[in-house]
Amino acid sequence: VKTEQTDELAADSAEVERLRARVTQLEEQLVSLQAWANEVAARAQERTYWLDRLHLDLDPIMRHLPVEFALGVYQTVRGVYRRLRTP
Amino acid sequence: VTTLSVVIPVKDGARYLEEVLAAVTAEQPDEILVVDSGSRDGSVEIARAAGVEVIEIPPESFGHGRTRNLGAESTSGELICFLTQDATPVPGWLDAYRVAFALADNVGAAYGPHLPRAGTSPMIARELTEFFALFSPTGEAVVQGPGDPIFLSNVNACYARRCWEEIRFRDVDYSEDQAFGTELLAAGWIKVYQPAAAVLHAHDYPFGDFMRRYFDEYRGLHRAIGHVERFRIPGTLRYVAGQVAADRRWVREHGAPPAGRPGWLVRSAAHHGGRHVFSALGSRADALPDAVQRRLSLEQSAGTGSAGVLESAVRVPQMLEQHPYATVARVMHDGPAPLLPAREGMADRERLRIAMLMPFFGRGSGGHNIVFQILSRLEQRGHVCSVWAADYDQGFLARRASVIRHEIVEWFAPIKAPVFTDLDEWSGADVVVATGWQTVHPALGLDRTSARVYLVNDYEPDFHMASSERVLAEDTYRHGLHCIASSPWLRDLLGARYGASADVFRFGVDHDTYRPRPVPRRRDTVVYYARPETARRAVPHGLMALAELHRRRPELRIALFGTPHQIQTPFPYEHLGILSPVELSWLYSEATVGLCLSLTNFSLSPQEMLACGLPCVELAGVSAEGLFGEDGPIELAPLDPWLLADALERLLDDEELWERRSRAGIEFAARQTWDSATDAVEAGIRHALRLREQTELLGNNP
Repeated sequence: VKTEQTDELAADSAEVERLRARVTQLEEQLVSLQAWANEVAARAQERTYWLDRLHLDLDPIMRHLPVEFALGVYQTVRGVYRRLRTP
Repeated sequence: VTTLSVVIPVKDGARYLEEVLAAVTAEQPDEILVVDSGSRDGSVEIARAAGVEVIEIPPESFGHGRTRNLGAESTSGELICFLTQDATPVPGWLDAYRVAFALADNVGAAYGPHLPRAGTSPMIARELTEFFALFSPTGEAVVQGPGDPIFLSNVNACYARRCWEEIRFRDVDYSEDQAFGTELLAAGWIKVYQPAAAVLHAHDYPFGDFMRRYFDEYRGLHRAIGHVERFRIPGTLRYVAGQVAADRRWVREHGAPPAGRPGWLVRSAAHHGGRHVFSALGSRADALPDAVQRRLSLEQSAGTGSAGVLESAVRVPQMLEQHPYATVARVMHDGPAPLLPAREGMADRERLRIAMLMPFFGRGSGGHNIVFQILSRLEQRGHVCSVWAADYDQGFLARRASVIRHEIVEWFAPIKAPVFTDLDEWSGADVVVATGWQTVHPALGLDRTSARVYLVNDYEPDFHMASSERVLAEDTYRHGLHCIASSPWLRDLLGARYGASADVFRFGVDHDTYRPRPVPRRRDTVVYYARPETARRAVPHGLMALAELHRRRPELRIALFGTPHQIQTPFPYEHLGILSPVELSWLYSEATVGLCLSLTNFSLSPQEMLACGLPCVELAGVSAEGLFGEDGPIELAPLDPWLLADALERLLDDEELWERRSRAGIEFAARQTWDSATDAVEAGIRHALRLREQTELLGNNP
């Protein structure tokens, strides 16, 4: 009976160790994921600094009709220019 | 199933009451209540015969808002419908209201159209029809929110009890429904116009009564929401002509006999013109003598209508999504958010996720410089850090995260962490670090963390006079956060007064900047960090001491810095304003003695003076002895102008003492680095995690 109990305890202990190792591994993954997410967020904040500083929200501006029109004209002119430039 | 009560205020309403009650009963509401204010035409008996509940009130206690509030209080339905005694619901009326309230969770009220009864004059019939058609040209129920019409009519309206309980009807003479509509939208509720919830209703008064009623209604409207009806003779003539033309079309289209049409047109002109005049008079009634008001009023009432301070108060619409102290309220009510269960070995993990909560800051904030010097070095050691703006100061609201981050990098230290301004974006961290009293309650509200740490730079309750802020600042030490205090004095104070566990870190010095500069040391210059905006700096005492010193040594050069404003002093001085760190280092390298007082914890400035070889005077008996010793690099003096002047004079006169203090200061400052400060803070953070491990793991397994 004692041998059986010892075996069970050993098996439990091994299982606990295995789970602990898995938790440690997952925690490391979480830290790496968080580091990556923070880096992406920080980089995005660097990029939007001047827009935010000037309180500019490009979405509504670009939706505005004259802007869309101007963009269309620019793209057309650019397309023509490229065609002409291409031998 | 939503329960529904119907309330009908009545006074001498026998003409339609039986018909109204029969129609309401047919709709099968949960309860019907008639509130009678002194009817003498048998209305009460009609109501009782119809089997509805009746409350009788004295006529003098009637008020349009007051009586409807009484009706709402006396019923229990989740929805409360109000009808007037002459408004007969059409079939499907109540079901239509139920549909309206099902459109959204925040529907506070709904109202339906008033249809003309048979025989109603064409002017009224057309106006009613066209007026309600404006709200819903398609005939579908329409949700109305901020910016939409405030119109609401208790002739035929239904209210969510929750909304009524929040707003209630104002006790005004008229237009309590319009006032309710305004306040409902301002409070964030919406309302619904439901065309299917119609009633038959018309105001068929004699001409004179009709005009006087309009006088009463517009007088009430002015008192309820301040409306003043515009009145210009040319405009009125154009308006009347337009209305008469419209009535003419209506009469033609609705089949009135041609012989009677001219008569209707004359009545139409009188109706619209008179109404416009009486509406304009009513909305200016408060400027009329009481006797004139009584003549013009159908109710024969007068007075200014102001019923006391509360009634004349302006209800300020809700501007913020929640009040700035909502987090404090939540923590006080619900307690801190639960921490994650402790895990063995969590204190020793190489890389930790550290979230620092910071209060509002401006350029040159010493406390923030400390925080970000340390945070940037924690990042260099591999920890994954984030910065969270958390303050009751509304200043953060105007700044976006990217701008705050840019300012941190430009003004304090080159951090890599992102900045977040909304704690709703919280995704968890191993450790939350509060860095000011304003950040502690927000930190306590954050879950998905293993420990909360409090980086205590100073004893912040002393920053405030008797106030909520002072009480809340004191409260921050009582929530069991493990403290990392910036001096032994502070650590001992936190432990003795609040029982808080605390480690110590020491401020670092930026040795690249603060070092003896190649400039001749003057023997006649005292520099004083005089910042009157910061009360704990004891500027009046410092100025008294310098006045005494000037009396003793009129030739002494005195320079004041730390504030952009010139200070009125009884001695001449050089005003240096706010200096950059580099400028300060040159000033400290040139001056003879520094003066820097703090009634709470000592600050960075004395250390920076010492690093430049400048001995300085600080207050004895507060926090300096714990770090510098009683006879170390700093000359200590009690908070007494004459004794402070004595201490300054000792350093000016005694060259041997000056040399000794200057040397000791440079040696002391050389040991203070931001790396060593970061070592201590990192150890404190790990200590906090270890304490959690010990209390949970060891406590559970003795």
